[in-house]
Amino acid sequence: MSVRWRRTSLIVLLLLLMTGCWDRRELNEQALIFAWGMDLNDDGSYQATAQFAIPHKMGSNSGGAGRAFFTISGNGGSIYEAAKDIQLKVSRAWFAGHRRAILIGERLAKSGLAPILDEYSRNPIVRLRTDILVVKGISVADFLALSYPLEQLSASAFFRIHQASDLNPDLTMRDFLMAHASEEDCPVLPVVTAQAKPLSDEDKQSGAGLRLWGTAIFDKDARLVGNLPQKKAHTVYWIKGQLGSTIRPVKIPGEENEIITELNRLSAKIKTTVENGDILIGIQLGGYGILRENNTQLDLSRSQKIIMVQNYLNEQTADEVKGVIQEIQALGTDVLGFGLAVHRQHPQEWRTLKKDWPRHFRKARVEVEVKARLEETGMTGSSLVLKKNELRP
Amino acid sequence: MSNRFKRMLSKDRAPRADHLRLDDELSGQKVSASLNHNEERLRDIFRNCSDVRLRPLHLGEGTRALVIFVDGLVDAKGLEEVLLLPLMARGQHYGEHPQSSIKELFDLQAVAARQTELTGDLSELVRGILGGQVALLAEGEEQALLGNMSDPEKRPIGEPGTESVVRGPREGLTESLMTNISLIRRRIRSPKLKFERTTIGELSQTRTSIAYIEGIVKPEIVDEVRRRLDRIRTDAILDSGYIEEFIEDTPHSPFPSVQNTERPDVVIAGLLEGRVAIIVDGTPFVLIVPLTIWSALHAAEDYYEHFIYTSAIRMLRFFLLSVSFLLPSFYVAITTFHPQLIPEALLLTIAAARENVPFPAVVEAFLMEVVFEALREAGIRLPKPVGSAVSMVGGLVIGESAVHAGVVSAPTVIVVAFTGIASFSLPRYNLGLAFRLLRFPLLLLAGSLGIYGMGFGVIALIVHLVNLQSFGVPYLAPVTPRLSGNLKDIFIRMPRWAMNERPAFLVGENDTRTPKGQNPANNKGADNE
Repeated sequence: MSVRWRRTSLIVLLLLLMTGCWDRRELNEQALIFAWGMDLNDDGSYQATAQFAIPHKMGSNSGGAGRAFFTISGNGGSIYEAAKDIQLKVSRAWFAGHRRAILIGERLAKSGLAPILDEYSRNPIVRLRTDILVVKGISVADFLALSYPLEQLSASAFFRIHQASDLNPDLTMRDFLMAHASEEDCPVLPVVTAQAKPLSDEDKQSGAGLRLWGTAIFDKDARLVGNLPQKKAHTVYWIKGQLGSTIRPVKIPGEENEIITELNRLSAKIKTTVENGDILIGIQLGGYGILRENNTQLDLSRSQKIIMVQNYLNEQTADEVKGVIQEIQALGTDVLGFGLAVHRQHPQEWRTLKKDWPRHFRKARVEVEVKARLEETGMTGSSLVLKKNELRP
Repeated sequence: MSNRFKRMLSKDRAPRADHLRLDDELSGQKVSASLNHNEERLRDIFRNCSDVRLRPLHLGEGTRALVIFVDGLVDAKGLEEVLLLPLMARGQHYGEHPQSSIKELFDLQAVAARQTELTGDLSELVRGILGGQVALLAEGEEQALLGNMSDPEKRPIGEPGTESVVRGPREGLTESLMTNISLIRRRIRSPKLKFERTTIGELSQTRTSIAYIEGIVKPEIVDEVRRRLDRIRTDAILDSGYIEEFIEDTPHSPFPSVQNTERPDVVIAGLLEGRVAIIVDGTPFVLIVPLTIWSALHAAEDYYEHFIYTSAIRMLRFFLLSVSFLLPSFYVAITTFHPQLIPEALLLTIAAARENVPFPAVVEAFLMEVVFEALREAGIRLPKPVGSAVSMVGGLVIGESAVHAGVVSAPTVIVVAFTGIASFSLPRYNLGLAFRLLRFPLLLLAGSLGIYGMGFGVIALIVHLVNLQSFGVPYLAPVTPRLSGNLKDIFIRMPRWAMNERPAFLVGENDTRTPKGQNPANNKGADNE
């Protein structure tokens, strides 16, 4: 072994002893964070809440008694200070690389998310595939402390409830940051809610009324300006092309009850025209329908009846979508991607339009056309509970 | 005490002489015409060698002769019937002109042995006797007649203990050089197959044979093998492993550059690819050179089973190779440095299992790997009936109770066990050893620097492998350096009719192995016509 070789290996060995080289941290020396909440206190300081997993309650051979997580809150003038305040109360260094859900209190959302977003996009340990949810009607700290019967960690429940409604929670944070940074769009976030305390035992058993409530609409400064309940929120995601499927009831004139359809393979097309500063936005929505329920006296084994239902479906859906769009237009927040469409289709005009886009958005004329095709009617034509003579001709 | 001991060990204690060599003592000495003198000389040489027999004979009319042989090395019955009896009868018959008849017998080499030879050199005579030949000396003859009647005790041909196959020849090589050569010759009935004799070991005089197929092998490789074998100077060769260490290209590398096998079909497959085999008397392990890392990953059965199945198994083997090398370090690296890489549910399971473990993951994994290696070693060393039982029970008890006691976590045991199984699946034991050994430094790297460290280790390994050569052939050929058209038998195995050429990096001129156009699917029509 030559002197050079020895010297090199000595240097390498000494390098290993340098403190900076060691970021080894055992799993049982870390507290794993699975959900994180942020809210605003009355005095304007931030309150951060973290949900930690308790590993020894999670394993297969543990008794399973008690909850597998606990929550700790801390206060501070910035996210980081609030986080440090939490660290003072936790016996292990915490690890946020698996944080799948960030919950935002309604009060904080109204005052603006801009100051906290920076940390989430800067910190390398934060994954981009994080779901951000606005909590409505209950404080964030209380919400995080709720347990959910199906999931050992309620953090997974927040995430999965969002996923189960045919939306992609992985993209929430990315889409929010992109919309916030773009010059056309305004961001949206899903809203969850739960029953506020005190909870009865029954409530605790059933997840305390935890549910996906709808969608929060933010303006360009990331301030919450309005809420849409889930049914209306579906429209927004449909137009944005993010929705997988939706349920549409169809009212038939002269019938007491409704036909229920489910639309899949949804599509959306936005066509814009700009003339002398007047903006016309044409929206064409498409989809393929499955008939789920027929509570009317129609015999759907006949194709003209199906076409009739299809026409009513398209008309009624278009009306409803139009209503939702008008509601959003009143807020002046373009969460529907109209600005993007105008920018793409009329780049010259956009240069002047973009300076005052919220105003233009507000007064833009919108036409909605729905072209859904009803493809499947199920196993029977008419409802089996009806006799032949009860059917409408 | 220490001074005296040091003096004993010191190199300049005595002039170093090569006094092991038998030839030096006897070189130049001739067989004399006087039988008495010869007998005296031989009795002196074979003093206290109780297995060497000197049998005086009378060939009538006072003509004396002497038969010398080593008891146990020669065919005793044949010796009596074929040599002693006719000689004595001859003595009676040619009683009148004994001298001329003896001369005739020597000149014509008229002894009923399968191979005879005359020698006047004393050292050659002694070597012949010790090699199992029978020597005949007669009064007045300045030469000795050596007859080959060697028939040493040997083990019957059995199934090889290593490299077992489900389908394929079941004959294994034995300790006898002649048997091994015959096993190979029986499968290649061509004069192109050569067995060159050489002797290695000053005391053991171990017979060694260099086998190759003329016209296929590159002559430079044979020359290189001869040169390296000639270089060896040692007292005895007890196994081909002795030779392997003398002829390796990179003696300090853990990777073998010489293949060894117990199977005659593997030897022949090597020869047909243009490799050279070194067969050593006294061991069933034949050396094959040059070795590339890929042939070290191929099992004999790969060529006997269907190619689709074989290709799938080869992929599995490459995967298992990386598992046996990387899995423990990968586990340690991601659990201690990069927990964000583990899916949530798995992370929680691992975290739950690790909750009460007192050691860091790297120490834990290292500990279990050492225990595993110890169990394996104990299993090999113990007598067979005890060995397997002990290792099984040991594994269960240590694995189970260590987890229950909370000394190690269950995932670590799973990782170590899977690593062990994966390392057993490599068909070449010596290559598996290299990877088994190297996974320990890699584990330490992973435990100190995470995946970054693993990257370091793997890059260092690849740099090392690329630099290796075996008898002038790059170790990773034909993948790197890339020889396209030679990849039909590396990661997958093409069907026999598609492997038309011998490996270009090994073969001299005759590189066609199977003529093209033998795909049975294309020949169906031709049969019907």
